Amino acid sequence: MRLLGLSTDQADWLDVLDDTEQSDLYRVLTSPGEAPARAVGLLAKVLSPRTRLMAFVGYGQASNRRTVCDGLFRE
Amino acid sequence: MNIEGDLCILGSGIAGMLLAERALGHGRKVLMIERGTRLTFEDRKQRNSHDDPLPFNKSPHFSPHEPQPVGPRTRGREYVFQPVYNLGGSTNHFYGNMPRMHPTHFGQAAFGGVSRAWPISYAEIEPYYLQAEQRLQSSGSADHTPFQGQFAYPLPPHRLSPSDRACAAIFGPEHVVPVPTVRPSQAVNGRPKCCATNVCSLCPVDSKGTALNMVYPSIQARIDLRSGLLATAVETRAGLVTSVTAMDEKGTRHRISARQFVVACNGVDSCLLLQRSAAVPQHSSLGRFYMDHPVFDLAIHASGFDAKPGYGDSAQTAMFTPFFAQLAADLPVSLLGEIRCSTMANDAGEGNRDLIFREVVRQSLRDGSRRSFQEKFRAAWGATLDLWFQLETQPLATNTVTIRRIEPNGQAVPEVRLQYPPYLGDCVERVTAYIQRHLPGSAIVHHSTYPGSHHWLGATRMADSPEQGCVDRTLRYHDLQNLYVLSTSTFPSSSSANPTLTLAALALRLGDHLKPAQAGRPG
Repeated sequence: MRLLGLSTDQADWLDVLDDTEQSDLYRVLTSPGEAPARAVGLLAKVLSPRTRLMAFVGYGQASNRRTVCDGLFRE
Repeated sequence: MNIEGDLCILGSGIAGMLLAERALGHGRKVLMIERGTRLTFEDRKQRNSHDDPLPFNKSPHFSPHEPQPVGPRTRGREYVFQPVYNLGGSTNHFYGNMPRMHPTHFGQAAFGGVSRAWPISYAEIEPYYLQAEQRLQSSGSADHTPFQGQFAYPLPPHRLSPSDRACAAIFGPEHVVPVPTVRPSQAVNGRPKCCATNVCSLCPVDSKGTALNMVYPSIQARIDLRSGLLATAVETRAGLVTSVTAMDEKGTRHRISARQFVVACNGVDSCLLLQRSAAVPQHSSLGRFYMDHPVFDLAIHASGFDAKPGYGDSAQTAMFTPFFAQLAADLPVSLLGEIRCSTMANDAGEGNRDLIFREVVRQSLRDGSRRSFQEKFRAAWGATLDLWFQLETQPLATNTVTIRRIEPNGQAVPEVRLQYPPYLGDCVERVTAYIQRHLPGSAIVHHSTYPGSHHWLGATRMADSPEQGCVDRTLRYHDLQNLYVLSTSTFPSSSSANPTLTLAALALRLGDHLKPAQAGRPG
């Protein structure tokens, strides 16, 4: 969690990975270099849902949720 | 059952509707035949789909497709023909980009012995471009276009996204042009401003301009619209179309008579109707020279800019135009770039978003600094540009549309043969080299290629002689005095521009051509 930079309320994001996958991810994050495809896949699993991705890159929650869409983020 | 009319338009898409409106203005009486139902926007939203419930409108078509000569792919080896059969046609589904073709694209030299020149010039079509932009309430910039001419967009352009501004800084502001679009930059005629969700294929707030919300309301009460009728044959006698046969849901045949007929179906079905009509002259170009715009997508990772993927006031706010006139002196094609501010903010984690996301992860993991993974990821994310290039393709006789079979319900199922152009790999290399010249040290990943853009062009091409094409410069079918084809299938070359605005301009032009003075003497 700390290595990824997740906050405490984001801890459950890692629940999508089993113990082996979490160990594999830990190993990758602590040994930088060329990314194996498996690591990319594991990170995609954790971060790929849109709400997570947007939060992870630091975008605030979209304000326009009154309609069925929430819009692209606007400056 | 017999149905009679004055001007009969087959198809209720943007072209058919604009033609109807112009013809009504000239005092014509319009009979419009639509194979689909009359689903409203609310109906579609309720169903979360454009699918038409009629039995002969359920045949999305997939054709085997040759592997592309270069790069990765994101979809199977299939070319997808997936039309929207319904009132309003393809604009219900399109993304709303409305660029003009470049003036040079009207007079290009032949390729492989096949003429690419249009029988009409940019100067002839320019007044109609202007009218179409006005009528369709396009957003765009009148003083910042890749070519000279008259422009008067009724709505201002969308604000450039951070990705657009990054491109302008890197490649030069003259190459980053606000995209002309019918996604409105401000509320207009009861439609709200574009909500920028990037799900334009079924705009959730009915903001995007469509045939249904822009044109249909003005003609609805004045045309004779018959929906649920599938045209199955054009009947002729002594160089005149006498009637069109159509079939309804129950299989009942109808005979439609009119003084003039306009085939205004999509670029594949227009061709199929003519091919299945035994009485129609089968010109040698009918069903040949089919074109669509292949697309390749590049992700660019570099330092020194913050592109803020996901920020934007619309699904796409700018075009990238350095290759719009022509890619290179020794390549016969042009490219239109789209700066995709929206891909990575897509709701569903699918398609290109996931591909680019994975590239960002790779970039982050390669970063050997002591920063946290999140810091590395944010840095890589902000320094990623997503450029999508729409490639002009060439009219080749070997790219064809034919009838695969006629289904019991009357529907013709097409067989589409279309190969990736052999110069696709060269185009990717040229663009990559161009980017590297402007961004030394950048990582450029060609991560996807698509065989088409749902732009169905060329299968009933326009040329002055029946030996070279199916329709003449007025869109009249060669050797038939009162039959016209108003479809993207008439384009003799593809440009790299999205085709809808050019089709709309042709519709208005045909409407003027068919005003009563001309209508009195067919052709």
